[in-house]
Amino acid sequence: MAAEKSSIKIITLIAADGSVFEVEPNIVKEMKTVQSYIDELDQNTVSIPLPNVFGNDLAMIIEYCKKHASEEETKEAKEEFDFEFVKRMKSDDKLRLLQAASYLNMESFLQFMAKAIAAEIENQSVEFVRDYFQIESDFTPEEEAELRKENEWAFK
Amino acid sequence: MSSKSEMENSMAPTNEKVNKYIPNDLAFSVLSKLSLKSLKRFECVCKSWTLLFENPNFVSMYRNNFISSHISNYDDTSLLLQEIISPFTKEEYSMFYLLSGERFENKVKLDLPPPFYEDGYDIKILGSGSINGTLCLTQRNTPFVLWNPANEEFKVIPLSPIEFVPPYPAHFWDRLGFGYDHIRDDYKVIRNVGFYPLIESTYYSLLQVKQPWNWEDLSDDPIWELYSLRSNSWKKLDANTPRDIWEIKCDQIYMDGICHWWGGEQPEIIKEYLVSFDLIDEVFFTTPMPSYMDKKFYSGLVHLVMLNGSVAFISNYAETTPLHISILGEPGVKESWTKLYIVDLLPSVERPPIEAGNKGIILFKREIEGKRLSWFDLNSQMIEEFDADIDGKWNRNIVIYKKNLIPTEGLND
Repeated sequence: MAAEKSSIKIITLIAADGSVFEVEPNIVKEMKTVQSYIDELDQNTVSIPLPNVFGNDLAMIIEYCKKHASEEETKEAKEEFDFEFVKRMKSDDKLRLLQAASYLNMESFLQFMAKAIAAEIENQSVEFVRDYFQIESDFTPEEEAELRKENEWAFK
Repeated sequence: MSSKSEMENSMAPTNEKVNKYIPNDLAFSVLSKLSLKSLKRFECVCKSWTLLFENPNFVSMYRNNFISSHISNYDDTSLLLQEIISPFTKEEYSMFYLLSGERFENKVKLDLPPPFYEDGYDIKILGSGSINGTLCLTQRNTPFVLWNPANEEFKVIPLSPIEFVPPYPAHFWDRLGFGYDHIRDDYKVIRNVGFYPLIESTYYSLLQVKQPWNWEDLSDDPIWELYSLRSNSWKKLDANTPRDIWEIKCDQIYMDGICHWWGGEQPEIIKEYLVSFDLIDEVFFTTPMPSYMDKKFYSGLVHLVMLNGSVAFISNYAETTPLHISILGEPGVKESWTKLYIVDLLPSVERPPIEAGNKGIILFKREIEGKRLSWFDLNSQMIEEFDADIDGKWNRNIVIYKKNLIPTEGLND
């Protein structure tokens, strides 16, 4: 599958730790940040540094993109893949991938990661969520107590 | 190349290569995928997470997720249309059709189960749809029939002991519910039974004998009865039954082991609320109206629907004003009503709506070349018309139907 505008055959992505990934143009289509860069070039080969994405994470994103760009895979196989993909991740991995999705401007992957994180924090405690996102409370104890009282039903 | 250097600048690493701090816009895309209950709880996480529903961007994200969220109950659903021929005459009977397809263009007639073969008079479908493919129908309030149209299983529910016990033949009020107890894997039907005497009281006064019943006992003590498919019998509900529900304003809906009705009570000031029956614990409870409801709202125009897996309350001030749509975060909690939509509709659209369908559509009748059945898509904000051969005469009932071929224990008569 050729890229729409240029004759680029292979794209080289360079992660923050220097690891290098060679991918076909259809794989990066979902990465709008990368795609808009390629669109402005007129070269056969291109290498793109992605200093905000670690190699391990980039490998996972490419794996996801390959699976989802494939026309041979059934809808069920893709759903099964998504399930296993999330299952093997830790909380930190999910948060890093969410940020990578935002940085690479990957809309559907971002929604996918957001959903995976939502599933993990659904019905958890306020403390769990603060710890998860590493958020310090900026309420005074009185303010927080009052808010908890107002939303009492949500704590049952 | 200049664009390349710009690109490199824009991709310059931050101080820490990948930091853990999640900006609010990313956090909000996560939060917009949570239940109302978790969302309200997490308002206590930090200040910028409070008052999310006053942030238009967040509300817009939340709506998109609410409508597009995958609810497996809504996969491959059809609409079940009940068409009543010659209403209020001796020739009255019901025809049932399944409407499927993107624009409900496929119309297939369904044959009624055997008890109704010959006589389709005064048939009512309980609730807002099928549960595991099973519907509950009733004819003149008795008998009740459970029916799975896909595998043709059906069950005529036996009469309860209180029926036809002289001198008070049972009279069933329009307070019926059908639901599923997922803990016991049991289908249940609930009803409110009132009585009237077999013989007019004037008969007794003519004979100058004391009538053998006490009116107060009858009128003040409607009985709530619950049928369970597993026990295949009715039982009387004793504790905590609502005595003062004088009017049920719209059809019952069922969700997650709970039957809900919209009801009201007297005296003096009319109070309205959600009346719910928990089929698992077998108790009644109520939820007051959302706090924005006041006298400005014309109380006749409230409606209860199932909207994408949530209990939704639809109201409007007057005939032609916008509809306010709120969903319930937690049954029993007034503060958990959350207004998600204000929908402005053409004056030709009749309120209240008939029913809500899958993927965020709401069904209405519309005054256009006679009455036409229409649907409003909350996602596209467009109103669409059903095919011409489904006109919108008022005497129609629509429920959501999802086919299920798996046999149900106890359902095969």
